[in-house]
Amino acid sequence: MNPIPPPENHGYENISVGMKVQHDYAITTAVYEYFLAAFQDHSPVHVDETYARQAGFDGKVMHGALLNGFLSHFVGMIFPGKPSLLLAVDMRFSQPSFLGDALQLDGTVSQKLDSQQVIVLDFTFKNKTRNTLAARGRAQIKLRNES
Amino acid sequence: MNQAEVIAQLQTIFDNLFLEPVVLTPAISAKDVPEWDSLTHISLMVAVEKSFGVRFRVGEVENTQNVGDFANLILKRKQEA
Repeated sequence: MNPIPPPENHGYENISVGMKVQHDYAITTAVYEYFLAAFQDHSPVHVDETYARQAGFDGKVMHGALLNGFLSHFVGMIFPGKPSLLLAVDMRFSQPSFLGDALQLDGTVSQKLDSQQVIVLDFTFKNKTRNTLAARGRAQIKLRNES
Repeated sequence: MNQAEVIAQLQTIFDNLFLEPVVLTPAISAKDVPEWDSLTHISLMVAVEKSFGVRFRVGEVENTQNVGDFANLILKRKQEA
């Protein structure tokens, strides 16, 4: 396993409304299997290829909560990074994703709350493999002051 | 816009944000609403600043005593905007 690089470090004052940041993710076998092992959601639509196809999907449907994991990585490691504290997430899933799919997270700062040092980040997950929108949502992130 | 109109607009925000219904009056405050904790307060500030087009300063919302005070602060900030 490759060493994990240190988190980015964007402070509140250096963030402006309209800023856009993008990052790519992949639903690899490792991501899927670690998620299954950690949370034990073995609902057949997620683990039984035949069942999922009979239900009308192109294969095993990946858990939507995987995207919450990618968002957590984005906020904590990419943008804003180290000073971030994720306060709230509202994510709406649009189209299913499948094992091996490549996703692109696009984040845009839509609001800053100076009195609380909180930013609002609007985001989308685009499924680049299938050219669909996987999910969209909004997160509130507090930027901690570090001494 | 007057205090009653601000509170009416706040009521819509509360209706969308809080899971349990809250009927706003000028006298009601965070201590009367169990769900109005520090995290919900931040979501409330996000919604209020966007809805009213105002920006609050550090600590001034927390210094208000009740919804009536808060509505007056919104009116004050709106007049400055």
